[in-house]
Amino acid sequence: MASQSRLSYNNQIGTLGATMWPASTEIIFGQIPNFATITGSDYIPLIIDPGAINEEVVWLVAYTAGSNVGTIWRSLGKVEVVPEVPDFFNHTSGNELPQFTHYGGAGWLQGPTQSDFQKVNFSVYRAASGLTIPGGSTWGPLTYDTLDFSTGGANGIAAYIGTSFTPYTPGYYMICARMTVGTSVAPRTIISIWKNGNEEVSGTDLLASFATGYTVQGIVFLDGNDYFEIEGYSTGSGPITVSTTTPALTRMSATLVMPG
Amino acid sequence: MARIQYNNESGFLGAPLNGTDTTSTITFGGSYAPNFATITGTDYIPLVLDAGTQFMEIVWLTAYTAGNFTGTITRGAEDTAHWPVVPHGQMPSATGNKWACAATTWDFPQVSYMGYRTTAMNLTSSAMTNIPIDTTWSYSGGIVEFLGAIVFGTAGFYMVEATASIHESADGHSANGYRYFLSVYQTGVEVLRGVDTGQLADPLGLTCSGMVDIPVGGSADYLSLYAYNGYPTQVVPINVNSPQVNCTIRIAQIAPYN
Repeated sequence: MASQSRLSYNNQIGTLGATMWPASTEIIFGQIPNFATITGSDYIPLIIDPGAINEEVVWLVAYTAGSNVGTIWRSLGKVEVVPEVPDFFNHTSGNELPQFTHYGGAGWLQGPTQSDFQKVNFSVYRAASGLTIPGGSTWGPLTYDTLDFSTGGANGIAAYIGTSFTPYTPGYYMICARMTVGTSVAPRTIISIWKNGNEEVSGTDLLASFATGYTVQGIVFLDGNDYFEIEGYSTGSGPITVSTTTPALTRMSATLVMPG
Repeated sequence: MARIQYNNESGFLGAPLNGTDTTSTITFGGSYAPNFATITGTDYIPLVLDAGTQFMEIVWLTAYTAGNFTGTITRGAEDTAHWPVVPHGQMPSATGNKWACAATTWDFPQVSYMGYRTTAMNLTSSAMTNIPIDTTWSYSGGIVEFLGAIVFGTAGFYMVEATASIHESADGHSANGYRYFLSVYQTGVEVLRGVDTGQLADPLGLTCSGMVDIPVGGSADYLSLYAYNGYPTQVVPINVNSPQVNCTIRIAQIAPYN
């Protein structure tokens, strides 16, 4: 999906109008909820049987205002279509199950879940010398070799150092980066944020005869499988050496500002 | 390090906890172990003991192996001024007996700061110069301006954005062609540097932004604004017209330090 909105409502709670079987992707509300029609790839997280041993988080992905029926995404085995904990553990039997059965009359509510509190904070820089960008009007990725900090654990950034980065938590990320070159490179140099191999956010574009430091900032949606890179470009003849004498010179940080 | 949270994980204590230890072994009661994955590295799971009672305490589960009934907790891990280390009884007990994985106030970022400089000053030639912030515009949470630096009362991850504007050199000659940039220092060390350019329009706007981690809080961690003037023989004045726009630092907490 290109983008999506995780929608929240106050005071939406009720019971199921019919049993939700493990393989079902339909939810029947016992009372009509006060949700607006869901459009595009937006969704509403719902907690079924909240607080019970068979609590399950589902995403309401299709719903028409005023209806008592909607379409939900559920956790399908270990392929987490709904990337939310818990991961299918039945506390009564001790067995792991793909989904639970929720009987008619069971409770549901719309409320925050673990995903609403997920944090991903990430910062790396380049310490070793030897990094270059191609120059000659060709883009080239920056490779980072030192980790400042990384939070989020298994839901965070897949690789701590390297060239491309994949945050496992879907959402909107604020990304900031800086590149320093050893000497000014005429006439034009720039860095940008690239997503899945395409330029996504362009940085400050400077007449390079006076400049040696370049920055870019932007908010990028990443769906849990997307990857991003910081790439440098120059019309000057290459290769062009990137400065690494202090951490502030060639650094990148990314932070999850909102789950998606 | 990661602060790890789970949906719908709660239960009873299988053994009491005393009110004195800083580190304890927690025993989970019942027939089935919590559904936590094994904790690795410095990750942790925040747990609330005896929530909703006068004996509430927040602990961090710092060591746990999946399927086990015991783990290691750091006692009084958050907000000990209100919720210090206290005894917790084993079920059934009049002093309470429940644990739960839940969000705490740490999960709701609440610290922000916006300040600027109104007093004219010059940047020293061929040097980094500190630009002390002298006016606080707004703030929330535990963060203050002190002697021109921004002092954090709360550890966390913070988004920082700064701007400064400079004029041509004091001698009236064009300063074009020299290097100028804005940096953010953390406790005396440069951690963020903005665009580095010598294209000096008059004035020239400089920016610097990025994320910093503040692991301690209090006077041990502070941010300062610096600018570099590459003009080898002349000072360069800071532009303090409309300082809320032209010479400012803005900070917002993104997450707790975890």
